[in-house]
Amino acid sequence: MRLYLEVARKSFRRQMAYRTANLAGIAVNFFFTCLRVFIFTSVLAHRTQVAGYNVPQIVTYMCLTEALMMTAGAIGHWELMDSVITGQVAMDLARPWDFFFYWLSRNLGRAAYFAVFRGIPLFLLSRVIFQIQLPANGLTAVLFLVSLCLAMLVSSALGFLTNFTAMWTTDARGVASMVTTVMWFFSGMLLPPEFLPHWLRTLVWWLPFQAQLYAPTTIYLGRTGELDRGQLLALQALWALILMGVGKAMLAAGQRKLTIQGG
Amino acid sequence: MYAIGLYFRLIGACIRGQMQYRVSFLLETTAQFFATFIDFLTVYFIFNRIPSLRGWSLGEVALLYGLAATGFAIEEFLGRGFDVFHHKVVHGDFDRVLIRPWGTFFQILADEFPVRRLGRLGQAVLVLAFAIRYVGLRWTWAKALYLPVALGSGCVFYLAIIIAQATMCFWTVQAVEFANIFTYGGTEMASYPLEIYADWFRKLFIFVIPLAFVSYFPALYLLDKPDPLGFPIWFAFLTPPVCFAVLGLAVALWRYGVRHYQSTGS
Repeated sequence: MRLYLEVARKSFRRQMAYRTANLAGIAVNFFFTCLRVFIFTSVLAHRTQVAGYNVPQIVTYMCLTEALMMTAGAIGHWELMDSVITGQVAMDLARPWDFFFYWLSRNLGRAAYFAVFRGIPLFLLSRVIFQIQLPANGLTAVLFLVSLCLAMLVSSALGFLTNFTAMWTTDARGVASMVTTVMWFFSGMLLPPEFLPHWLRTLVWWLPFQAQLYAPTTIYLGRTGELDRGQLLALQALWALILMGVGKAMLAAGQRKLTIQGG
Repeated sequence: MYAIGLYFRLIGACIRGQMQYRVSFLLETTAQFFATFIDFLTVYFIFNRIPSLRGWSLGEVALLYGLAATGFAIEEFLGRGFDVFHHKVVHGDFDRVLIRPWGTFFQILADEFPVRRLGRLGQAVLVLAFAIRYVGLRWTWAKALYLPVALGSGCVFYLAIIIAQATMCFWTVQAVEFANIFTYGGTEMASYPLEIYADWFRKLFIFVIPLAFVSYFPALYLLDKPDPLGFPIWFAFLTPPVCFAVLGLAVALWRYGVRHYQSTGS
């Protein structure tokens, strides 16, 4: 356990080297925040509610999902894929640690970095400029943090799964861009799932992506939709377990068919 | 003339190279198509809930989307060399470009041609065609001539942005993701009517980064829609000069940057 904590800490600190890149990232994320706030407030213009959201709720929803995007809604980090391409993966597999949990910790460390250095600045900016809502009470805030941790776990496990397809395809980028597209749609990043027609909304609950952005945001807002917050948390935990199981199974399969590129 | 021939030879070699991996090529092209398709689904589902957005119907917003996305998709073919230019600076490969007997601008332009972006272009053109049918556009000869000019100008505008982004690498060496605001962000911004934005946001995209000329003003002209913001209809005809002026500025910046290039020495 201490080993994995150390791995996560190293990953956190490695990310801290990219200060300028993070500043540029904050600017880009904030631009998209403004864009989406403008779009959805005008969707609600002259209407009290659309798809169950009022104006302060939809503004908070947009700001929060954008602030959490890099923490819980991003899988395109190529370190694992690159290690397959360079052959470094053979060394890492031989080390006396659990390869899956090693990468999970690395992804979690990076996610934690983005929570602190991307999420908090964006949250504060949104609070100042768009006066977004705060959690209704202490319990909501605590449950939101729990939900965010689960979201990071789901997102880190998904990051492993997509990157690890490189064991079969060498280039995981194609798979990752497909997954990212579907993920953005079903995680509630592009629009709240409540906007979708009924048949598509059913699909949302059968996919892991809602556990990444929709669940923590809904718990933060204190909204009860088709599921209440207890059910949302349970579903997140279930998805985290399932994806970790799939990750372990994929690792076992990958080890049997390992091809090292180069030498 | 020789330059044009050479351009097509270089691009041809680039395309043949990409065709070596046929399955990967097909997968990526399909992925590109669906990625942008889902983008448009978002707009569609919003309109599923509301009849119109500040007086703009689904078809009219689709026209904005189609104009912006098509211009951007064409640019992605032409300007890819500038988009990945930071690799050249990081690895010191730009030194090699400098010693060849052709201009740097031409060489980078002819460096890449990502065929898989056909997926994106296909989607953009489909949305444009859908929009034109759906709104029942009243065609005139002037409009038929205007549409390709507007699309070409849009492409020129995005090219300018990408060149400006590449130029930054001369000083920063690393890639500057900042320009994503104006390419990907800009395309999304330009897919909605200008009136929904705050005043400062609007002014930014009319006067500073004149993206409004890529989709908003052309769409008003094509739709014969009086501008709710009060800009005259002839603003649509400023699109080509504005876009080419921005390109001129970007090329001048590029020239300046090349003169200040210091190799990384790797």
